[in-house]
Amino acid sequence: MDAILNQVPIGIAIGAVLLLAALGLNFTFGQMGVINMAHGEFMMVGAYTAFVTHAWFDLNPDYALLLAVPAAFALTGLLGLALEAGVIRHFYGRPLDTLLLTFGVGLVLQQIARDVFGAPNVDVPAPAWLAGGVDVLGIRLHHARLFILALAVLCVVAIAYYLNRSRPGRQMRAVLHNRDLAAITGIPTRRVDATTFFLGSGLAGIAGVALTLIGPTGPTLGHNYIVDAFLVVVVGGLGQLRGTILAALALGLLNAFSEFWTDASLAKVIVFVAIIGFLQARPQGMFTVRSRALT
Amino acid sequence: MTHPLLSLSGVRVVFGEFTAIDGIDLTVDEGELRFLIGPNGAGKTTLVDVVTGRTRPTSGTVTFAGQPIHGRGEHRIVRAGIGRTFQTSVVFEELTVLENIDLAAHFRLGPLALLRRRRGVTPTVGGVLERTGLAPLAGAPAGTLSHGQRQWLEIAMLLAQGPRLLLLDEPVAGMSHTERERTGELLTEIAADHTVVVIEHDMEFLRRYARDVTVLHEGRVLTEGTVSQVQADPRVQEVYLGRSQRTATVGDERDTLVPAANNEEG
Amino acid sequence: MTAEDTRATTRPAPTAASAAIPDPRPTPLARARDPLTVVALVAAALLVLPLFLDQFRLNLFAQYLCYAIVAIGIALAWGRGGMLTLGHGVYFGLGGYALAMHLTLARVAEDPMAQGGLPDFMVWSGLETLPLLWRPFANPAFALFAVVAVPGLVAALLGWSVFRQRVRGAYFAILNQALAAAFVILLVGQQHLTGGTNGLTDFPTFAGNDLYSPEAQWVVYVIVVVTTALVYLMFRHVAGSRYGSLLVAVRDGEDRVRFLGYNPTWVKTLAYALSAMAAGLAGALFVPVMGIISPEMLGVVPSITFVLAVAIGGRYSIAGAAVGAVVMNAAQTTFSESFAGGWIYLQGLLFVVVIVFAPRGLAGVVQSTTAALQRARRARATGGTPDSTHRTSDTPQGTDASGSPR
Repeated sequence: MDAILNQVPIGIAIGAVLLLAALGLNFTFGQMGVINMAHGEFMMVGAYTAFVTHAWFDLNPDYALLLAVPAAFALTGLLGLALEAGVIRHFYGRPLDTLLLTFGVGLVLQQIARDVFGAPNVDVPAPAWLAGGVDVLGIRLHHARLFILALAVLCVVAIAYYLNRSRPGRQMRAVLHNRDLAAITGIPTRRVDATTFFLGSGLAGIAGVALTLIGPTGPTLGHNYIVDAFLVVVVGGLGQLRGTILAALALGLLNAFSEFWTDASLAKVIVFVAIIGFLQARPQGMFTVRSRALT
Repeated sequence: MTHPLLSLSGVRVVFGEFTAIDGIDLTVDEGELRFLIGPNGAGKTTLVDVVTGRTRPTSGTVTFAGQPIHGRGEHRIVRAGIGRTFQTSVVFEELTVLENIDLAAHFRLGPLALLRRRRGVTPTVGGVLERTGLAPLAGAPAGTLSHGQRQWLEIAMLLAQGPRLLLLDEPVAGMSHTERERTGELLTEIAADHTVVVIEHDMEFLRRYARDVTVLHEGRVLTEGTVSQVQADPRVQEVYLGRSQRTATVGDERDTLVPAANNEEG
Repeated sequence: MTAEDTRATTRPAPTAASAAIPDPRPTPLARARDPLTVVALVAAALLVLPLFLDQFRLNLFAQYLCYAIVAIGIALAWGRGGMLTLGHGVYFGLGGYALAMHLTLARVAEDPMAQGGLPDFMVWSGLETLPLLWRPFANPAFALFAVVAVPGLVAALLGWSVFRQRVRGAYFAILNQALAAAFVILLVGQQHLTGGTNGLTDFPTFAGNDLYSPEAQWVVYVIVVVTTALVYLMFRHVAGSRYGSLLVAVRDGEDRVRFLGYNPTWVKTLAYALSAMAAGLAGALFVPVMGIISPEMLGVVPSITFVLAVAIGGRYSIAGAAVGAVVMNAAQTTFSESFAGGWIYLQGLLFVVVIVFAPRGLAGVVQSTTAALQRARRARATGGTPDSTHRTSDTPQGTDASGSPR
């Protein structure tokens, strides 16, 4: 029983990372029709940022992590901005083309990581204050997992505040719902797009930092999470904050539990079948907006 | 007296908070040419969507030739014998005119028969090409057609399907004067041996080619009758005039029932 | 073929009206040109190439042809059908493992050292009897049937269940990719059934013949070449049939097709299943050619590499896709031999360059060039200006290329 309950925090931690990764994907796909396959590599860049803070700058791991979070956000955000301005903006509304295009970019980023840091995984020491954990009702809550959860909650609250209260955030929602109408009402859609890309990519960087706490850091790190993050978007529904949160948690828990009950190799198949089953009931994700357009 | 060909009873369609159709009863008899008019938002296109299976009615029934069809898939309703065109003509631009019509004509073929190579032009397809005047364009990709030609191609595809009931959604919207004339002649010709329902905004077109008219307003049937009866109905004038004055700033002049002079913007 | 010919002659004579209609079908000569070209290419591959290539290179070429078969299938599903399949490694793998399982059992049966008639990896995993899943594969006929049937069935099931719910475009692509990821993890994890990371390897015999003999290798080569040609002709036929037009129609306007009385679900499912079957066949051919099948050949990255080959060759052209697969894999071999990391940079760059500059791939470049040459020649002949409105049939269209950037 305890062992089963102990899967809950694991699942929530995975879900939190998936959420951070999926938020950016969801924004860029929902708003611009861009599928950014390099998003996983942005996570990888975020993770290596955490590595670099202590390996190159020799910072004390106790606060290097706290520094790595904003650094990774800024770095991957800028990387996303460069990608958007460089190539992607010419392919808006052509998701399948952007998918292939950004996959190529991702391959290059992976190889760069291999050439710079080497192919084997690197070690990112966790801060001393994240070691250990607390027991609540017989469930072991590791500090590291709590930290990831807190990070995700903080990011979601910030995003929700940005979307609902701030002017650029409201502009972003306007563009997401109806690009043409937003453009007519004078919203600078190009700038909004760039901002969205920056934010989405930056979140991927934060997800990458979080990942160093629960898994190995290597050139293909993002690759292992990107597929699941995309599934979160599929299940959660486009442009939906609620849906993304619920789907990320559900997928994280489903992963953790099916891994516990069967074994890791069957877990992925179970999750896949579960998603196909879910799509039979809600083909457009949990929450959708109805449209009359004929496609 | 047999059944009417198409009959709607108590059809309601609700999208979230918005009621698009609020209890419509309507019958169309075999051989009729019926025009469906009404201001924007009256529920005309939604009505066609309900009949053709694109939208499921929230409540109410749709019967076609004695069979209930509401809730069936779009392609099954086509197979039952109802065909439609779209307001913004949707044809397959990559395919030639001939291929577009050929596909429309052969939906009853099974998968294996479809996997055979197309050999020549079947008489049905040839006849439709002639009738719609598209024969010289048979080999052109549909993407290269003008707006008017695309509408005719839609009508040609509809004819090739050989339906018992044809629903035309604004067939002359955006057409030039000569194109309208041509479409009107085609419509008269088709109506001679088909049952046709036309949604139309263009009042001059309506006066010239309509026989019976149903006026929709805010999701209900306002009135039914001949063109002159409907035009004389004060409620119809109220709906159109009142609305057209209120929405004059938006500039959708096609909703105006009375003057025909400003209907040539296409 | 003959059945169709008789049908054509018994068809009612065209009416006066339809006789005047210009029918854009290719002339009989143009239609015959395609199979003739294929026969010529097959002859060249069988008679000329062996003069220039040693056994090793010939084997490599056979391997490229396996990828070409996959590419032909993807060109139908993606180029014509608009279904970007990022998981064809799964179907390639299903076909490959189906045959490899049989070949493994054939080896074990002849090996007096094998414990309990089991392959080594099963013994190491502690199995004592042959798992149920493996038993039917002892029969070669069943294994050959499974090579196409299993991928076809899996694809049909997946396709039907998602297309029915109108899940398409990017969502479908992502689901495919998730399937590829899950499949590889499953193969690696179920070591006692699949041989794990190492996959299945060492196939000395098939139906009692020594597979390692030069004669057998030659037979395998001939089979690969002929199969590639047959698959190409078959997919060409499918693309040129009414169904082929219907598939393009579904790609460009799935909802509209419903109002023509067709159910897009089966239209898409069929194309997807056909392309999966081609991939399964390719995977099976790959096994005797390479002598191994393992998870690293089927995951997310190999799957997307299949798609890259099609993008390079030209997604709208079935011949282009096949040529693209051969060219890209040949380039990969050449490059990897000299410097391995460089290939990945080049591959990444190829993705970007092809999508940005040549969305129609090599085939598109060839088509536009010939069209331009023809226009120029016609212009010179008539002394007029080049016909600027002339529209080549290879204009990119479809769900993923529906217009200019917003």
